[in-house]
Amino acid sequence: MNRTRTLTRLLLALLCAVLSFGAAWTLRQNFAHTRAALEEQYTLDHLRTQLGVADAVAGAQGTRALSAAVTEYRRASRVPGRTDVGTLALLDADGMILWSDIPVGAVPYDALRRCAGAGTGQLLYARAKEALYLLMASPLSGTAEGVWLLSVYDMSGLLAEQTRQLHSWLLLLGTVLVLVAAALVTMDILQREAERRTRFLAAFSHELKTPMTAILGYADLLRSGEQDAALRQRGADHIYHEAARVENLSRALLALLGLQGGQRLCLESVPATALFEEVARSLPPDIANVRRTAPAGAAVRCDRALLCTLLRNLILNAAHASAPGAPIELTTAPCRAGWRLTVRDHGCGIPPADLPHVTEAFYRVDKSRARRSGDGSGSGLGLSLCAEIAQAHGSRLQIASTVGEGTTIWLELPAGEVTA
Amino acid sequence: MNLVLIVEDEPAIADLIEITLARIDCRCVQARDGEAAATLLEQGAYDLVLLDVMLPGTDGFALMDYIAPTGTPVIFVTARADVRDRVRGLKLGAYDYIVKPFEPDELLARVDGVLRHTGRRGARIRVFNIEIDPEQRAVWREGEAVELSPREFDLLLTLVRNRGIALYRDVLLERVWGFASDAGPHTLDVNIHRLRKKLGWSGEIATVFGIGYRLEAEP
Repeated sequence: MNRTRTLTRLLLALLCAVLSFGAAWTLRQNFAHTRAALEEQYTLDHLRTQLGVADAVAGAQGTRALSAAVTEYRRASRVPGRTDVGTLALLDADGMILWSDIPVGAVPYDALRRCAGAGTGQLLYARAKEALYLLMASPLSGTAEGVWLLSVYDMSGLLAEQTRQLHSWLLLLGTVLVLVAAALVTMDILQREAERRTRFLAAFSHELKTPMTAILGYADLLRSGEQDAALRQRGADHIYHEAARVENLSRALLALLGLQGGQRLCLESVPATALFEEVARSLPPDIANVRRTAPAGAAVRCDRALLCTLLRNLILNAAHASAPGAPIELTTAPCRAGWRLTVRDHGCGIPPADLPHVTEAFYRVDKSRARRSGDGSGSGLGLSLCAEIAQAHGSRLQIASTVGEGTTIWLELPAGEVTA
Repeated sequence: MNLVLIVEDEPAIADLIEITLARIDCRCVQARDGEAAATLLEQGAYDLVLLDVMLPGTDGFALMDYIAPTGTPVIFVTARADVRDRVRGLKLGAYDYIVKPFEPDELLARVDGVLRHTGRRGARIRVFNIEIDPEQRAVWREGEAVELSPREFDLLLTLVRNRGIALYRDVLLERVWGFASDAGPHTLDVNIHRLRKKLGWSGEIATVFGIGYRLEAEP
């Protein structure tokens, strides 16, 4: 069962990793494609510009004439509404800007020089403030030696797109991870519930089959023929006791189901001393060493009969865990919620691994099926019943135990009015 | 006489098994938990171990590892009817797997079968001058084969396995002819009459007035 769970988790983690890696890869490829397409488009634009400018400046003499020619060319080639065209700069052999329509300060001058230095056909990216620029340069023919034409294209849109895609990818990944985590947690809860149910059914059928085997077997023996008197007596005795065991089991199970089905409590104020007195009276005579401590005026609001069952079961359990005659303490102490009722023994204790399961139906710490008399105790349902009764009172059964030292079980109940 | 070790923490069931097996001449020793069983197995040899799975302390499956090397045949007797448990038990080397609640007769048949299979008791049961081979469903009277109908054979085996006990007519009818059968009391009388005749048993199968029939115990 556990291996399947680990394997499922591993597979899910692997799936997540593959998915996120795949998404990142797609994103990267997507971005690279867009960039390549833009680069191609801008290279062509640069070529066109280069030819156009070369044409325009042909024959222009001197810087002034050059500038005028370029300005004229730019004015003529402008298409209204087109924003994806680049800006231009002309650099002379010394790197001085002869002409430019690049917004002042947008692109670092250093980048322009580096681009001219890189040579024809080289693409250069320059980052300035929030923007990203693509620069390319080629020597301008038809003019004085060493004049370079630079095209500058704003690629900020690409950057923004990349960021946007990255953000949406992160959002998606986050959502998927949260969903997977939620699914894992739900699966865990369901699996645990299913395991608990399977354990309950297995234990329940065992609890039922064992007495049934004995009852059927002895009944068959008795009805098949004339057995001798001793055997008859023994068979009848076993049938009686095993049937009583089934009856005990069914009674405890009915009580448990009633509580789980939302049985209404009959709440009243009961003085702790009276409660303890009633519990002590109901105990089998061999459990005599119960030390009761209840301060005067301590009273709790509870369903008297149910709480007596609860305390009685706890004491029977405590007695079962203790050496014969060992003291069991039944105490009341004030707490924030009202009064805390505690049953404490100095018996064998419960191993930590078993502690979370002891209130599960039919769960047995020692796996033996030693039986005791009582409401539900010995049927394997005693502690489950106690936990349900506590819960019906809006409280919770708390257990602390140390192996070899003993177990303390308590619950807190609201204080009741003290009648004079 | 075969020696059987019963490892079972429920005294009622251990007793039931012991009483049942006494009918086929088995002497039983009871152990309440795995540790006690291991000690008993160390001290002496047994012809068969009947093993419960859910035991206090060492469970039946774990104990199986301990028993297997001794070569003692094991039958699991357990409330765990899950197929995986059965497979596990049989894989561990158990001879058989009986699920609670079981019919005493079923237990008897399986125990008897394992004991005969493993050569721990003869293949044939001897009763008075008759020999029975339950496996082959064959009967010999002083060495000579006797032809019995299937019902007659079942009736004989039921009587043999309850020797010395007066069996009620209704129960005999139910055990031999089955629950749903409409065989009447007359059918039983006719079959008993034929058995007496074929086996030459006049006094051996006694009619018990108001009850039914009893195969007398060996004097």
